[in-house]
Amino acid sequence: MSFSEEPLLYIGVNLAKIIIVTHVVLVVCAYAVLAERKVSAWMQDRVGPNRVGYFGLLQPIADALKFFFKEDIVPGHVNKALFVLAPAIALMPSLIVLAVIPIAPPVVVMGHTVPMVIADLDIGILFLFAISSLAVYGVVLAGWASNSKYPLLGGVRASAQMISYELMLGLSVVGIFMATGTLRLMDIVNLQVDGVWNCFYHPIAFIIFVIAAFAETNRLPFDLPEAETELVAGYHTEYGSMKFAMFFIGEYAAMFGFSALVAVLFLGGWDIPFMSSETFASLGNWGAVVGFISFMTKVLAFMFLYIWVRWTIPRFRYDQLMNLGWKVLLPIALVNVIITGLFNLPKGS
Amino acid sequence: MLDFMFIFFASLALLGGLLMAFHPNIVHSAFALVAALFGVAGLYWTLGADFLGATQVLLYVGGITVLLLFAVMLSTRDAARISIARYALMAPIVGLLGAFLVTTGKALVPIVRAAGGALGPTEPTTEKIGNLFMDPTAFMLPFEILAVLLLVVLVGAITLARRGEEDAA
Amino acid sequence: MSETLASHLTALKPEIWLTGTILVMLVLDLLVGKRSARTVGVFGLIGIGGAMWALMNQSSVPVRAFGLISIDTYSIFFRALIISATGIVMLHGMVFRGIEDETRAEFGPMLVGAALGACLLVSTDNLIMLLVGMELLSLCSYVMAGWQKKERRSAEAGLKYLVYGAMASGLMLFGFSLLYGLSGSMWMPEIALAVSEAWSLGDAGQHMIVVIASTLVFVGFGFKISAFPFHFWAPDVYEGSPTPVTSMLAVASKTAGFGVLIRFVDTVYLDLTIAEDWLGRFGYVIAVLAAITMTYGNVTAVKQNNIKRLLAYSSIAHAGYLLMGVAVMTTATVDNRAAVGIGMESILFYLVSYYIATLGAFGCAMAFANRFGAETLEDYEGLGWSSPWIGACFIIFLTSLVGLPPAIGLIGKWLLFKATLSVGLDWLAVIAALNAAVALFYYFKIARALFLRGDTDYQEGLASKGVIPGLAHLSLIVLAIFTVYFGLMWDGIMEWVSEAVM
Repeated sequence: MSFSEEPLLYIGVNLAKIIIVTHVVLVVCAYAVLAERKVSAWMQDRVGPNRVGYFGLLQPIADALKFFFKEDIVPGHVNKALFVLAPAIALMPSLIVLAVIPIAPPVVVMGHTVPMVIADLDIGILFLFAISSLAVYGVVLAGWASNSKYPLLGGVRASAQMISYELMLGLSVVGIFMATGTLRLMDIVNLQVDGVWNCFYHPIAFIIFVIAAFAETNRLPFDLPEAETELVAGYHTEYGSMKFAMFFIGEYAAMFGFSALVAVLFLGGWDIPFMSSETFASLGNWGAVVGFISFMTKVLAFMFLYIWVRWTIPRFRYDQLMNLGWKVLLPIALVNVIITGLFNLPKGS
Repeated sequence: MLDFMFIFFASLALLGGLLMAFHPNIVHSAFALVAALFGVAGLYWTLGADFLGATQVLLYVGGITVLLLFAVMLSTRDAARISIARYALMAPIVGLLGAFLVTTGKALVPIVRAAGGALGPTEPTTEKIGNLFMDPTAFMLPFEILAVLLLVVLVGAITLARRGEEDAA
Repeated sequence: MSETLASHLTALKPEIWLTGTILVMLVLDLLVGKRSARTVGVFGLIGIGGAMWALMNQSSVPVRAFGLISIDTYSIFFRALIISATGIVMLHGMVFRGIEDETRAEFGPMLVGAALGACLLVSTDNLIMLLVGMELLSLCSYVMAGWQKKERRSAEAGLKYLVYGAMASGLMLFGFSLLYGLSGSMWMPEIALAVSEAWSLGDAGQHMIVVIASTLVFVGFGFKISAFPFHFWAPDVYEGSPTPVTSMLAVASKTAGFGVLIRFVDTVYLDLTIAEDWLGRFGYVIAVLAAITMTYGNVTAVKQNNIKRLLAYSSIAHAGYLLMGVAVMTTATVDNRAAVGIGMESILFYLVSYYIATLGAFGCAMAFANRFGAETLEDYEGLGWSSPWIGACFIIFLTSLVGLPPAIGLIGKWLLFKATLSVGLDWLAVIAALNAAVALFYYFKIARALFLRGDTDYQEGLASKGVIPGLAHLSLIVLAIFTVYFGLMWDGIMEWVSEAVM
């Protein structure tokens, strides 16, 4: 199915995919906030939100309404245009990257096989890194436009931290490209469905990627850009109402994005152990449903890991963060690339 | 569609570049540079160079400009303002250069068209680029020499940037 | 490893030696620890010697390596100059002050990196490789120019060189892109075909592409050789950089610049099919630039008081002399093709003479700065008597630079003048001769300060700040002997040069 053959169907299917993915992600984000609060309460032996709805289940909706109806304040001392632009830029990349993540085996609609990814780019993972590297702009811009010292410090920290860890992120994945020979995420998943998950082939890369993903999303133990004990709230100190909410959603969407990426790159995507692509195909469209559930299970489990770590491990000091990145993770990642290269030497000449 | 994309990205690159050159506030200039580089990446995409476009965004927009911003934000606010009046003199030179370039470009278009440089269907370029870089008769040597370049320059940059032993105490 | 890869690598032995030297120096610096500078320097010299040895063993039969590099007598000639100059600069950098001890070990890799870039630059006939080589040379030079970061002048030199250099390579790259658009190729012979076709068959627009592309490319090369009007960086950078770096820039970098310029002109513009009017005009422009460059350099040098700055202007002037040769090459008419070879030979020979004398002159300046902290003409008064060997060497180098007997510089100038007259550029020869007279004046100022001025009391007052190490003495004296020896027996050099031009 292509645009030139059946333009209406093509646009319709793609729009549907975009709408579904965006909404799934936003709902997951909203409930991830609730989960965060519930889990932290549980770990600290508290009750957590339990007033709105049964077990506090309607809390996200109440929060959203609160954000919407709060007065939208732009402090007088800020750089207005950039101040308003920053939250949008922070949110945008984390939503765009979802476009290249395959979420399920292909489904058959009206005789056409539809891949369950919005854009099956040949350079999928490169596109993903390119776009997610833009996320730092939202933070930096917010820090600078706020025109006050704590946000500025947060912005400066964010730029250094995210640049550094982007490197490890990229390097850890290089090994997978070397072994699979493709940048297309769909191919990487398919190879794992019929083979072994990459986390067993590339354990070092897996660990580095997970650590770097924590740093890239500014989550504890790497949340220095918004360290509340030092910088009030870091780059979003001056923000309120919906603009703050956009930062907030951006962070959780980025969490979702990286969890999905870990699932796709290392945990076999929609694969279920001992099921091959034929098994999925034999189930027809139900195979896609099963695959999607499997995929979401992995993503949610990984998001739980994020929350778990946040309430367990204290924050790094800034020099520790940089040392860990440049002096520990980077050399390990490079050695990992070399080892992977040795294992994948071309046979013969 | 392609024409529209081209005009969009080209004007993004051009306006971003002009804004970068002439905006009095250096932080705004840096952000304008982001727009310009993004426009260039878009131009690569319209030409079917998907790998190059993504790499452009990844390295220039997501990497180098962030470092630039980092440096600019650490500098003082006064230094972050540059006078535009001094550059007013350059306007005729820029105009002249622009006129030259437009003429040259117009003359180049038929040559490139004749050489079969018209846009074909887009096909993946990543593998081809990789093979060319690793082909001894193609671009293997520049590729390896660039590795030496990066190593040497990295050492040099660190030597220049690090504090001397007596300052560190 | 496949057969072809092995043969490609064999052709690049000197470059592999240089790369290996960089790596060994970097690792040694880590292993040896605090007092690593000397060890690293010695290994650097050994590596450069190895590269030189590998180079001398290369056969004169042209080979192509990696499809981008052509190893021929021409490239061997230029690489020999570059690598040996690097060796001498390395030695001077090790023994003289100017590079702080704590960063001396890191200085070696920079220097060899620049040499590696320069070697590739003069060997390639592909624009991509040319750009990579030039960037390697330039980036290392930028870093080295700002090496004494605590000195304001050095930091300024590094920054200036970086900003102007980036601009120049940007413009050059734009010229390359136009040439690529015109020809669809990065390979100079194919570009030559496209250029000549565009010039002889094309309309005004295509003519404009050729003119603009050539101008932009010339900006890049002109910047490297510090030809007018792209010379403005040279005085500040030469003065501010540590002196070993200055001599590297003045000798190796400029030699590489001329190496690539001549190859480019020879391959792209001297194609017979290019219309006569184009070459005539192009040659005329080069001739005018040469005249302006040498006059500007010489006239400005007269007023200078700082020795390094004076030598910088003199080096600009010498770029002008060398450009005369390029002008000869490009004005040679179809029925006088031999003039191309004559022009090239004269440039190469002049480069040899310039190379020896300039390395020596900067070495002497380093020696005096090291021993007495002398930087200006006033400081130099009477110094010749307190270090007679170095003083005498300095005089010999200056003699060669000005072109007086019995130094090699005379032969170089004579060949250049002869070549210029052979294509009918008489006015250029006259200007060059007048310039030599001006040059005599300011070179004589140094000589006068060294030996004819100053009394013994003053010398006693000037505190000795260090010694001139024996190795430095030796290297300068050897260079001085070469200057005179080749000034009397230039046949060997001449043979080598004409072999390189073949």
